Amino acid sequence: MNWKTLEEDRRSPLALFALLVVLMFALDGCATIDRNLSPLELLAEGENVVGTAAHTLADSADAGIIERGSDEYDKAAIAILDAGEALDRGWELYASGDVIGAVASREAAMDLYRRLVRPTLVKYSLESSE
Amino acid sequence: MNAATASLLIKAIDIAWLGLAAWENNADAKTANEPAVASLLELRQKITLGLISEERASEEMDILITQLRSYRKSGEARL
Repeated sequence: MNWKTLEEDRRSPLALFALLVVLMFALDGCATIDRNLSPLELLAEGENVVGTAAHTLADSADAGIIERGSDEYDKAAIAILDAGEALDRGWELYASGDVIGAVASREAAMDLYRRLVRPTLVKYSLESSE
Repeated sequence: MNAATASLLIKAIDIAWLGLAAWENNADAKTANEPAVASLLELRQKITLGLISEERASEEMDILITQLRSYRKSGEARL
């Protein structure tokens, strides 16, 4: 990236913001997350992540950043709902005393979020800043 | 920068910040769910010590888990 060009570009604040977002998510991907959490805390964290993703996707659609009914929106929305079902199963297993199964369900939910939801949110956050 | 662009830029910041914070910062999740998590841990202790009937424990656990799921459920309803 040419910094001089950036400085001269009248949209440079947006370009710089885009760079910042890329750096944030690059760091995010490398972040070491404390996994010394109890199954209950892991499930609660999963709720927060998937819940935030759902609200963020809905906010993005309300703001016109992503179109409801588009392939990407539907793909992310379905993945969020599937992740929610995985968390529901996790809670059922937790309540029945199967904490290993509960954590496995939570991991399935996080896997859906990582593969199918977060990339869409990152993409549209970058596109909307251009 | 016109108003529409500014609005989208603010939304982009929201998305970047919320996405990052939710994923990276366990402290946020702990804080948001802390009351219900603490109550659930306390409930499990009571169950372990036999201080609460199985039926009552099951009812209380259902209530607390519903609280923990409410934020996600409200998000899902908006999709």
